[in-house]
Amino acid sequence: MNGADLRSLAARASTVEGRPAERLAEVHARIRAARRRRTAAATAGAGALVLALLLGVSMLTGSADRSQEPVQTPTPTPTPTPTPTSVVDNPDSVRPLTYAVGATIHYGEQTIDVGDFVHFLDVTDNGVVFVSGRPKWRQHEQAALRFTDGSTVVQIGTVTGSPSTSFGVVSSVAGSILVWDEDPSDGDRGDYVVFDTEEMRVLSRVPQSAAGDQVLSVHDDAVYWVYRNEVVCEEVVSFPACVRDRTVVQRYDVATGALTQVSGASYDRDRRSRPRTIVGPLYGESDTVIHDNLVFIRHGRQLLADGGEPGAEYDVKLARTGARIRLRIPLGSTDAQRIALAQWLDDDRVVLFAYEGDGGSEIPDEGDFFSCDISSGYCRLEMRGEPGIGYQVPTLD
Amino acid sequence: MTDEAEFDAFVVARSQALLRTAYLLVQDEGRAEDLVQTALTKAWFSWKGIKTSPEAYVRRIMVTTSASWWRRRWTRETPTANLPERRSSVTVDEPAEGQDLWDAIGRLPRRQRAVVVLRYVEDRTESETAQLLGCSVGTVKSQCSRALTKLRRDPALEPVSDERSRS
Repeated sequence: MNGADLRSLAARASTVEGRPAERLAEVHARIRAARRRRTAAATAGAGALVLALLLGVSMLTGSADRSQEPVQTPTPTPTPTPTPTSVVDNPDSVRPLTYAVGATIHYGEQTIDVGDFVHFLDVTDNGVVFVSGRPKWRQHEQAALRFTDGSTVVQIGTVTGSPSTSFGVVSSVAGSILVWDEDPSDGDRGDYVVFDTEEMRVLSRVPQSAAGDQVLSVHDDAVYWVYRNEVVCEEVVSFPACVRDRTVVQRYDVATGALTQVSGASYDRDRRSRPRTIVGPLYGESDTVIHDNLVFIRHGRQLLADGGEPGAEYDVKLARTGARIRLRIPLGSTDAQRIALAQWLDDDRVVLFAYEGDGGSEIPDEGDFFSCDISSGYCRLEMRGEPGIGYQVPTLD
Repeated sequence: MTDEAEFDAFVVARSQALLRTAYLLVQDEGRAEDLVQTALTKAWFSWKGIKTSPEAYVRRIMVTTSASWWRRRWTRETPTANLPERRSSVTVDEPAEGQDLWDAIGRLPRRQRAVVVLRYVEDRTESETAQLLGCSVGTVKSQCSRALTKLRRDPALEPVSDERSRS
């Protein structure tokens, strides 16, 4: 890094225009909206319940057909919301501790040399999906998406993007389903590829909207996403709540291939009814579903969820049971202060990765691995990281 | 001048400069605009009570907010009212090495990225950087050291031999 490089960054920033003509009006609109929220928060309770009842389910079934235009519905249809059924993800879903070092994937007891530097990996119940290539990765290059069950390696698709966006790949937190963005070979609209790693086949290609979409979560029975141009939030930090309260969510039924629209509130209830869903008091609201990768801050042996700044740590709970998650690591087992939830092993066990730095890096980090029982809160050191070795860990949805 | 008029004048006069810092912090034009507007909105509710420079106050909100937006998928893909640019419009003639550094800084943890941007791109002192980040000078030094170590380890900034020599 030299002076010329830094000047080029400053020069690059100086050319950014943004929306100066609209900025003041937009800021005032945000202030008005924030005032409304503050007022509403004071009288919330019953109001939130009424809103939840008003945000109904609009069932628009149809096959996942490329010719089908995405339904552009700016606001949820106000029809009665049925009582959500309690969803149970595959209770037999068990996964081994998984990570990569350089070109080697460690999948439980198995090690797989994939030949190239592993930039990204994720896990299903059947194996490891990954992107590898030359160490010097350039964003927006096409890459082979490959899968290994521990014995063989096969290419299952092509992705673009970068490690920072997980190459657009999202896996089910329990089960065998994968979804990824597939850029179009022609035209301007891509597909979501829904892939089953149990059957090793593409189940469907679901067209995205022209504006680009955002996958919310993937499950063995359903894939949820939103159209980006329909999610308009005054403050992005309230995005999960914004989806819940104001947005139509697209649902793809894995078994039938049916596309439906559900309210954000209905989606939120579905998420909360599933195992492996964590909630916490984010954005000034209690028990917001945490979509992000969860990072804990270590206080001695105790772990508290990172609130983004010192002193803002908070408690998290399992959504389905309401049980508080109180994880403790053995005294002196790591020097790291930040500990990320790296993967679920089953409904009660998670892998934590304790690393130096303050998070968010896509470069493999040095660190130590723990496995924890959520019900007891007990964590054991599974593997102490070697100095100078960077570990690539799975990404949670 | 009323608080609102003062606030409006500040937005008109300084928000473009704030946008540049925001862009360096989040590396996306749409998200940079969002970050500036979010910070200004938050600042409005404390406007009367700001004792120091309003710009420093807003910058601090921007830096701490961007540092808390580190989560991978949600930070990179957060929807906004207006769709963000997919790529910056200024990449056409970007020198390769500048692009590499841009990419590498983008891969830094958010707080470390903020330290690098404030210290090295905006040329702020350690004390100013600490004030903006709301941490100690010692933390700035250690974050800086870690960021530089990480940049040195970044594959994109490793010396290229065969690729460049072939071209």
